[in-house]
Parts: sequence; C-alpha cells; structure tokens
Amino acid sequence: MPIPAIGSLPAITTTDVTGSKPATPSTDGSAFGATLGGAVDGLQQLQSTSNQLAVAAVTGDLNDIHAATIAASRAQVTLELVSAVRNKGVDAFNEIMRMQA
Amino acid sequence: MTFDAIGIASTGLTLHRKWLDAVSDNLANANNASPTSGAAFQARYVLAQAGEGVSGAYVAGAALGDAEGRLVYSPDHPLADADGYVRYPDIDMAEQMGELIMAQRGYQANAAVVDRAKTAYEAALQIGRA
Repeated sequence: MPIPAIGSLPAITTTDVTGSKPATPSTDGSAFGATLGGAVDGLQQLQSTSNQLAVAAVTGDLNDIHAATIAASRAQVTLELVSAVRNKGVDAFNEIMRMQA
Repeated sequence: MTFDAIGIASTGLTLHRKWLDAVSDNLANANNASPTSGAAFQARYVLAQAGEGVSGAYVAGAALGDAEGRLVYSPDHPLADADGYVRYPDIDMAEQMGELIMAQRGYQANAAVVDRAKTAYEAALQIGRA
C-alpha cells in the first residue's frame, strides 16, 4: 500500500483577538495600548447595551428576559477580562520600575 | 464572537420561549367553542430551524393546525346549529402538556449552558492569578 509523502504544513496564522491589533507591531508599547483601548471600547459598548436592555426590562418593553440577563453577564465577564489584562500590564510596569540599579 | 457559547444558548432560549408562548396560546384556547358555520381555533406550532451560516437555532415560522376541529353534540349550547353540534379546536391536552414540559426543559438546558459557559470563562480568568 503506497504511503503518500508528508505535505508541507500550512502557514500558521495569528488569531486577531480584539480586531484592533495594528498590522505592524511597534516596540514603543503603543500596540498594547491600542489593544487595551479597543477592548475598553468594546466593553463600553457591551455595558451600554446591557443598560438599555435593563431599562427595557423594568419598563416592560422587553420580550426576552434572558436577553437582559445575558447582556449583563457578557458585560460582567468582559469587564473582568479587561481588568485582568490591565492589572497584568500595571504589574509588568511596576516590575520593570523596580529593576533600577 | 468572543462569547459564542453564550450567544448560541441565547438563540436556544429565544426559540424555547416562543415555543412556550405557542403552547400557552394553544392551552388557553383549547376549550373555545365556535359555531359549525365558522372555523375552530387553529393550534399554533413553532417551526424551528438551524441557523444558516451562523450557529444557533431560530424560528422559521409558525404552522397552524386543523381548522376543522371536532364536532361535539351539545344541543343546549347557545352556539349549537340546527342539528345540535358545536365545533371545538382539535387540540390534545396531553400532547400540549408534553410539549410544555419539553419547551420548559429545553429552556432550562439552554440557561444551564449560559451558566456553565460563564463559569468556564471566569475559571479561565483565574489562571495564573496569585
């Protein structure tokens, strides 16, 4: 039985997590800033959606209760993610500041 | 989408909520009598379909049941015709109660998915935390 030759691997593509990553990563730290800024913008949008749905829920304009609660959960988990990334960034900064001779 | 499991479960929740609405409408109108000259109440059935190109379950539309209903002999009824018949919807109460349980359990299952997905994401955020 003939065994086919092993083909070349497909090129590995990086996953664009936030959709706001710059094409050329610079070394001055603005890439991380842009990523964090994009994440904060996304979080702001999720929270405003959650607020609108909460208002719709208490005024009786909402058909699906789960739409409001899911939007609130989504905003909460995203807030925890963004704050975890931000805390890690601050930790890294402090670690570097402690490196002085 | 970042939280796709939650988004997919949310479409399932919406679908089962609409199914619950349809069953409640059928049960509420199960005992409507109508004259034999008119149509009986038609049971409503939710048609579900998988999303095209996207994940999740969606309502494709609603199908209506038999307008013929069933003829019941009750000559004392104010709506009875000359032969003493009235028309009742052709809705099987046991079948509707079964659908009610299935819709409720489906809703609960999707709500459980949302819960578990949120717990999983929160566990992922705890990785590496001192």
